[in-house]
Order: sequence, then structure tokens, then C-alpha cells
Amino acid sequence: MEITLERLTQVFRDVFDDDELSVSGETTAADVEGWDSLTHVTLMINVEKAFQVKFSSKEVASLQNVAALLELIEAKRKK
Amino acid sequence: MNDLALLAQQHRDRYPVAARTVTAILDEARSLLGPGIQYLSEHRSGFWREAERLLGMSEALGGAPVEALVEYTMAYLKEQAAFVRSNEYSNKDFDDVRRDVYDNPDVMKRFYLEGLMLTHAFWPIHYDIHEFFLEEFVSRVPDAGTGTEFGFGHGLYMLEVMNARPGTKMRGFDISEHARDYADRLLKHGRIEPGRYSLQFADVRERFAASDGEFRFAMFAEIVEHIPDPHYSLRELRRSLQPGSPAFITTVVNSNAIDHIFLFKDPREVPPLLTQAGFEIVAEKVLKVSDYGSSRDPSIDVAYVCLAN
Repeated sequence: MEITLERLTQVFRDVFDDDELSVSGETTAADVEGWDSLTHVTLMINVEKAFQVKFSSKEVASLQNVAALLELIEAKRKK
Repeated sequence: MNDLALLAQQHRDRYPVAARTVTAILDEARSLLGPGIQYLSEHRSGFWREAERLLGMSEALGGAPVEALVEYTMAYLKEQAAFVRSNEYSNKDFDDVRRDVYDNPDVMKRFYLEGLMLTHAFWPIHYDIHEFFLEEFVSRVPDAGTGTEFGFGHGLYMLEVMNARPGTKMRGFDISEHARDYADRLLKHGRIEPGRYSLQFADVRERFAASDGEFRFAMFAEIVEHIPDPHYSLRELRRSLQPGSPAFITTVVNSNAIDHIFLFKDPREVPPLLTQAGFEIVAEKVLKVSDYGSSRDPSIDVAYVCLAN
């Protein structure tokens, strides 16, 4: 899981254009400046590419925090 | 429990459908729709009433509001994310869009028409366009004569006008048979007498099936960005209107969607197009996504709305 968080953090840094950005499982959209609905979808598109997974609209829409995203990535990669 | 969940609970008795739907959205689509709803609930006093009203219509027509809103919003955001990268709209050909969207039941019936109709309660920018429509346009529509809407889609705007002005009739035009079916059901649900309106097939690229000066009012909402030659279509709209009659016209700037093909890069490009087509702009508004608390580039995602004669 930690390896995934590390890679995921890099995706966040690329999308938000912030090399210092740090995220944890508890991080939500409210914690990151500029994380609005458009950035959320952009982030998910980049996560799909980085981890070679595919999310449904419902999965993208319902994510509540980074921990939920990590769980979703892990579940998709096990399939 | 966060503020919005608490607000939904507080509105449960007066606006039960809205409260239930907002609660479901917080569970199923907080990331996409939560911030916009939070903004509306804090800054627009009519939000809960409008949400209840539009959701009531949606449910009466057998819809699935949360799914439709999520799918419509997601489809828009994916296109907009692509636009931010490329600075171009994904689609350029009207016939391609017609095949993939307007004639496609999996898009139109599953989420497009219902989702778009509901955005007028759930997207801040569409909420404000709808408010402008009611305050600036409907208030100027005479309570007599025939009006038109070209590209009526879900039919909400036709319903609003004919409800507010019971002495009017309307001829609506749209290219999509799915839109004609949905709008007909919406108008019937709204108890508009069938003799007051017709919903006809039309291709916006062709000459309008209307005589010169036939209409006393006209709506052309969110159509300009969908057509290859807006100048021709606007001239046709102007031709079909009696001089001095009110027209409600909207478009978007730097705002992609699954069916947008005509790109405005700056809101200042829009008024000359309207005046060249013969319209006089009476009132106008430029709505920016940045006005709603977003940190995004303010030039991206702009709506232009106007009342013209």
C-alpha cells in the first residue's frame, strides 16, 4: 500500500503542479487547494494512466478521500 | 455530519425529495456535485425549492435523478479536462455529434436530457442562467401570440414560459426524436394543454420552417455552441421574430461537452455575432466558474447569456 501511496502522491504533484504536495489516507478535496470537480476528474484520468486501471463514473464520483482511492486502485489491480 | 448533510436533514420535512437526493449525492457523488450544491445552499435562497421542483418532475417522468446528474456531469468534466489539455473541442462535425448524441438513446434517454434539466437546480452556473431567464426574459414575454424555442431539448424552458404566460402558444424545434419525446412528457406532466404547443423536427443548419416575423418571442438557449454556422442560424432566428420581440440567447466560452463544436475563446466574441445577425442586446451577463469559488483559470468555463430584441 505504501508503494502505491508514494506513486499516487507523484500523480497528485503532477496534476496540482506542486512538488511539495503531500497526501495521506485522510486527505480529502477540502484539504488541497484547487481540488474541484474538474481537477478531480483530471486526477482520476491521470491515476488510471499511472496505474493502468479503469474506473467507472460511479467509482470516480463516490470517492471520499485518498484512502478510498488507494483501496480502489488496489482492488482493481488484483483483478 | 458535515454542513450539507445537516442542511439536507433540516430541509427534510419541507423539501423531502431534494433532501433525500442531496443525501444520496453526498454518498455517491460528493466529489463531483458536493461543492456546487454547498455553494447553492449557502448563496441561493431558492435552491431547495428549485431542487424539489425539478426533481419532482424528473421522478414523475420515471427518471433516475442521481444517476442522470452523475453521468451528465461526468461526461461534461471528461470533455472539459480534455479541452484544458488541448485547447480544442473534441468534436468538430455536427453529423458525428448527431449520430453519437442526439440520435443515441443510450445517451439521450439514459442521462443527457434528464441530467441537463436537473443541472438547472444543481449546477450553480446553470441555476443562475435559469434565474436570468425567469427574471429578464419571461417577465418580458407578452401573454399572447406564438413563440418558439429552437433546440428545446428537455423542454424545461418551454414549460416555464407557457406556465407563466397562459395566453401564449409555442412552436418548438429540435433535431432529436428523444428530445421531442422527453419534452412532450414534461409539458404534459406540467399540464400544458396539447393545443398550445407543437414539437417539430428541424435541423438548425437549414432554413427555419417559419414565416418572417411569425414569433412574438424566442429562446435559443445553449444552441450556438452546438452548430457549425451560428451566424446563419441566428439570422434565421432574427428573421422569424417580430421586430422588438424578446429573445433569450445563451452560449458558452471555453467550455467543452460531448456535443459542443463551435468554440468561442473569449466572451467578447459573442455580442458582435448577435448584432451582425440583427439583434439588439438589451441585457447581458457573463458568468464565470471562478465566480463560484473555484480556483480554476477564470477564462475557462464561461457562460454568456443575454436578452435581445
